Amino acid sequence: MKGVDPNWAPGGKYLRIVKIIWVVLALGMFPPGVYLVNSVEPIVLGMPFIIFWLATLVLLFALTSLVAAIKLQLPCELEG
Amino acid sequence: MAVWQISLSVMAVYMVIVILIGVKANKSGVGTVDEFFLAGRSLGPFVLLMTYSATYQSAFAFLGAAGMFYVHGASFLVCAVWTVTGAVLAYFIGIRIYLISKRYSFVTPGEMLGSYYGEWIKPFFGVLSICWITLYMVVQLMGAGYIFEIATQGVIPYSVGSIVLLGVVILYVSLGGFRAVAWTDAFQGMYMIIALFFAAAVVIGKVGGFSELMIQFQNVMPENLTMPGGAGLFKPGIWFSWALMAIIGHAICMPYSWVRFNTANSAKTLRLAVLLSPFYLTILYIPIFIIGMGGRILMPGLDAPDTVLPLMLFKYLSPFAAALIVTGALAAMKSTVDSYVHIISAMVARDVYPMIKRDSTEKEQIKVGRIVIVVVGIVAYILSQMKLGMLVTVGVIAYSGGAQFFPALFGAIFWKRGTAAGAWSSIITGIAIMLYAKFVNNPVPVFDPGTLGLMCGSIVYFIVSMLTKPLSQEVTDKYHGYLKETMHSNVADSDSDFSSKSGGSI
Repeated sequence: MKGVDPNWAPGGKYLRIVKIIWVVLALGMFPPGVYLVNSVEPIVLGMPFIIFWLATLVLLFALTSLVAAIKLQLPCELEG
Repeated sequence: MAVWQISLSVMAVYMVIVILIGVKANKSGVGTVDEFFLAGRSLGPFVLLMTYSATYQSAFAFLGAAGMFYVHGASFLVCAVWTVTGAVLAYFIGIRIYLISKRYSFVTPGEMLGSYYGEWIKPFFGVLSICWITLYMVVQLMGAGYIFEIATQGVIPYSVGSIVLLGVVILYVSLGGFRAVAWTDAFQGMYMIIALFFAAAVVIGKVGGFSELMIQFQNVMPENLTMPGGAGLFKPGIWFSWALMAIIGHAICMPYSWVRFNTANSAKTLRLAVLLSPFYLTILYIPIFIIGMGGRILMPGLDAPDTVLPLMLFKYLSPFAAALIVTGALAAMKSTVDSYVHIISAMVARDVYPMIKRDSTEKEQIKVGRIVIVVVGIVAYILSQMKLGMLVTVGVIAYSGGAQFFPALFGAIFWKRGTAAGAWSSIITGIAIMLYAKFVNNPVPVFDPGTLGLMCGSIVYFIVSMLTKPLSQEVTDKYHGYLKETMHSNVADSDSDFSSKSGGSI
């Protein structure tokens, strides 16, 4: 039986990178991250910075999960 | 035609469609427990994605979240945070639940915990979960009452609107079981996202563009464009608490989410469905944000902020267009209520009834499940007439209760040193502290009662487990051994050195 791509399997390096990205993004969305940028003044793309910040992080998180949905492989998937 | 007649016609057509889907599901087979409660564990990626996401969203999102943006402004963006992070965490836990449940033919969460910690945790989990779910179901019925009343200009009052929605749901769930739930959810999930984008476009058009919306909001309520919002609710502790409760309670531990992990036709399907859901949910929240914020500018001073969406639609759109969009709100509610009704019937039939009648057959369990669907519906309807509070607030109480089971679940799939005594004590401690903090006195007001209960429950789980006798090797191997084996076996085929490095977790 052909095995899974180890880079995208549990412990694989790409999966590790994705998980690190998720953690970093989550840190920015949760306290204290989100409150640290709360007082930043500039308007970006017509919206206050805090909204831009959260919208960007949420979008990046969703895109990363999209990549994981496509690429992530588990050994048990081979068993049907 | 009068406005109420147009609205009622559109809603009636919609309800006929979902009932027909239920009839179709019935013809596809509901004769066995697996068929009735889990759609034969046969759902593909699209239907699973839609049923998971549509159940996640509800009156809570369509009316409640718009109301929260209306009152609290950008500070309620916490909802976007919990939707994306919750789904990803749900995958890492859900895949383990899926594997174990498939291996041992579990239907309900109680069966999985009961097989690990002892059978009496099964009815305990079932009864408590029914309390939380019924409470959350009340939220949906309240939303339906509001929608019918506004859309029909009071011709169908709140009390009748709630029961109409409930009646339709009971009909198609008892006919088609989980397959009807999943299929209607897929239809309703698509419908509601289209409806929300139309509604947001109307709001943007009326305000004069997104930038104009922000400028006007800045002029009217600048404090609602920063944390913790004008009302001061979303201080760091509460932001953290609400997100945590939604992630742990709503996305994982509430049985309606949990049971969906068991319905996938393969591990790959589960991966695709759950990891794609943040994308769907992120897109869904963009129009909700615009509707809530825009509502504050277009219709300030509402007594019931939860009604901002339907009120704006009927003010600014033709009755037909408004009714079409508002029916999307009904879709959101139905897609949630059907899941709740279904999981409650599953828990009574599989977790509680077999403890009363030990030799019950599958046929009897399905019959009991159908009776329970009606009984729970009546109870939820009576509670909905009491109008318990803002939709989101009631929802948070409900899934905070569900979150108290997390330490026990965590032990069953990640920490083999956890014991039955630890599980029992953590659940009881967590719930007791949550209820005390909610209704008597919150000793640590920086956190929401649910988070406080979960923190204390987790500590108690750890301490009591360390102080009591470990579960037998045979029991822990059933779950931990099996997970280790299935989640890593084939990696070795492709890279023999890799499996030894993989460490045992994803």
